[in-house]
Amino acid sequence: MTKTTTAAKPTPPRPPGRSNRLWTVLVGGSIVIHVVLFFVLQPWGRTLLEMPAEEETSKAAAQAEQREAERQERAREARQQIALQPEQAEQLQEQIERKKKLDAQAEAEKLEDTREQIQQMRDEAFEQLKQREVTEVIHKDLPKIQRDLEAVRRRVGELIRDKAESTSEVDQKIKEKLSTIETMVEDLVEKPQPTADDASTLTESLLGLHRDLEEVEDTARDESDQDRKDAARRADKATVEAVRTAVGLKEKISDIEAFNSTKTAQSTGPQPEPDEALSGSDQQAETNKGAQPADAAGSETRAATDASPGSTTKPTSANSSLADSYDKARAAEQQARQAYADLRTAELAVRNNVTFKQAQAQVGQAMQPTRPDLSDALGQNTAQTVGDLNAYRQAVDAAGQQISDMATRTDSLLAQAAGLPMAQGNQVLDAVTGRQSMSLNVEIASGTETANSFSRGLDRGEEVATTGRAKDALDAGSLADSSIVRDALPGRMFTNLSDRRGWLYLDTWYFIGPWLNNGDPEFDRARPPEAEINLDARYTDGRFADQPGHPDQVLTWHFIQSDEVRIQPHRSYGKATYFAYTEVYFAQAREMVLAFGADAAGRIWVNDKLIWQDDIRSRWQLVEGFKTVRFEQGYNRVLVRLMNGTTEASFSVLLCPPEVVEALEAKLDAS
Amino acid sequence: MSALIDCVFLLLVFFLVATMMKKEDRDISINPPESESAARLVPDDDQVVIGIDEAGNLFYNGDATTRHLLLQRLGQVAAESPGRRMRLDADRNAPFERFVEVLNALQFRKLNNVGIRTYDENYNRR
Repeated sequence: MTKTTTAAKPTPPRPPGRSNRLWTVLVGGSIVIHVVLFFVLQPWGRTLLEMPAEEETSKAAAQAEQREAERQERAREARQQIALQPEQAEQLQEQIERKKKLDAQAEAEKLEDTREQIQQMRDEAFEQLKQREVTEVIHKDLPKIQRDLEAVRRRVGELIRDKAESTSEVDQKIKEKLSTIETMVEDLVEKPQPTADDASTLTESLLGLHRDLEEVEDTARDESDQDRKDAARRADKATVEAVRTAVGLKEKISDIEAFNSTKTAQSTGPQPEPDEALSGSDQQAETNKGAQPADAAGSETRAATDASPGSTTKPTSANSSLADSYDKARAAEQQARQAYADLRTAELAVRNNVTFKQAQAQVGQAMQPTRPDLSDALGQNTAQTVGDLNAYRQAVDAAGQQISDMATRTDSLLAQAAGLPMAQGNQVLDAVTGRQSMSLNVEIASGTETANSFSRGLDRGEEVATTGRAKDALDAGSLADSSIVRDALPGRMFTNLSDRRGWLYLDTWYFIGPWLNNGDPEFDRARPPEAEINLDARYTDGRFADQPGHPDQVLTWHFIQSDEVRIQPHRSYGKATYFAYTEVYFAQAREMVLAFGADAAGRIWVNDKLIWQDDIRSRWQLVEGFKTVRFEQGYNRVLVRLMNGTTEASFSVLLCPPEVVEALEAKLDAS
Repeated sequence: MSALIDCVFLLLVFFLVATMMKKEDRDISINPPESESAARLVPDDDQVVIGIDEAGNLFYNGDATTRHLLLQRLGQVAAESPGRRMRLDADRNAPFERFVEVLNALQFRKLNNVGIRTYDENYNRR
């Protein structure tokens, strides 16, 4: 059998078609495009890609944080609501309090000790004040009453000179009364210890004379005797002036007698604090007996109002709770502050030679720091929930912090009090006013060795203090304002090792003000910073105290750094009194030449010593005052009282080593 | 022997936990400024931290204080250890005047080892 097979037809070769080319083009093209994209577009391409990614990431993170915060807040609130078993709550509260209680009690006891020390200093200062002679305080009033009496005598003489032979009853009465008054005044002046009764009798006599003169004036008016009427009116006017002086004298002597009659360290029984309600457990207050309210009118019974040391009962650690310690600390702080204020007032009274009551009126009261009332929070019953427990913990922490703060502040008061001359048992050297302190300036000047080397009369205390000028000092060209201003650099730290020798101006100050003045320096009217420098103090007796919303309604200290020699207050007002305080550091004790200038008038103290006073209203000049002053090693305090008239207020304080000033003068003389 | 090793580890952990001192938190809640040039410093537990918040309130080691007290405290620190490190934590919106005042006070008391805290992501996260 034969098979036949059919051979498959050979497939024709496929011709290269468009599809292959197309593939090639597509693949090749895409490769090229990718390469181009990779190399060309990559930098900003990546940025474009990453930016949305980063934004998304940060958004997501922020949302996650917010959700987490909300979750934690909800969890916290839920925890606050968890109820506590009474026993458990008590135990926890006790643990919380125990940690703070011991420290707080120690601080409170320390605060009590500090309070007692300050009160003791205050009592000693009062004793010293009481030892002042009455005549010391009224030494200016006696000459004034004599002058007033002389004026009355003259006017009455004019009134009745034409009627020397007159038998008018009223004229006779006037002559007799005048004679009596003259005798009284002579006795008053010569008496070693005039009394208030003496002054009162004198006042009554002068008032009687005044009534008689009024009667004469009325009679003369009825009789149409113009000359006699005018003479009577003039005499009456002089008499009224004398009455005023006599009344002032009487008040002063009465104040002194009242103050001297107060007894110190009397226990008068428990007294509540005036402003803050103590917790019920502290009404016992055996540790704070006799704490009477502060009397701004000056009852001068303050010495009688504090606990005697013997009656103080310190709480034992086991007995008093944290609430007790806190309340006791608050009361002790108030009393310590009051005692310190009294101590400073006593010092001011001696320094300005006024009565304690007058000194109190001059010194304003700084606002006391307000302490939160934690009685409820600390004295609460057993906590019911975790939230109550947390609130209790916060109150305990706050009490601990407040007690610590009170102790620190009171320590600071004690340190300041200890630095006062009266507290150190030293007599205040100069019971003088500013005007008389020129003698003090002379003392300081003569006490410095280099002062005598200035032959130009730079330290002539009398001339400088009264005229406000040191003209001789300005003669030297080297002391020309322009050169000093040009070369002066700012600074507050001085050392002999420094390479620089020249003028430095004090550029960093703390300013406070304004207090109102009547356009005169009013140096006799003391302001609170003269009694105490407390950079946290707030005073409410400023110029704008009655203008709510005014930026200077409550006076506080402002930090100022000046880039020029003239220092200006933070806000300048006319008829204003400002104070500026700073410290300067000396690596070694030495003398320095101090140049002071003020617009319009001013005073400057260094370490509580009045160095210079310019009481003549004038525009600012660099060298209004020029003195050699001794600075102690370490930190020295500088206080400036600046009085402004109508324009801007400014002052300057420059220091220079005396040998440098001398060298400059010599150089100028040689040229 | 392995049982004894467990005891040793337990004891170690116990003493580690028991003797760990709780660090006093001296930070205040502020928003510090950022700085790219700030240097990381080794923590110093002895440093004094002075805080100024947005309102210009002052803090000393985390406790609120006042200007007068702060100046007194700085004087005490300067007297006891003038080289002590001081850290100033000021809010970025704190009044600049207050910042200058504190720096000036530090410099005047010769407390020159002063650092200013800036924003740190890791530190501020907690």
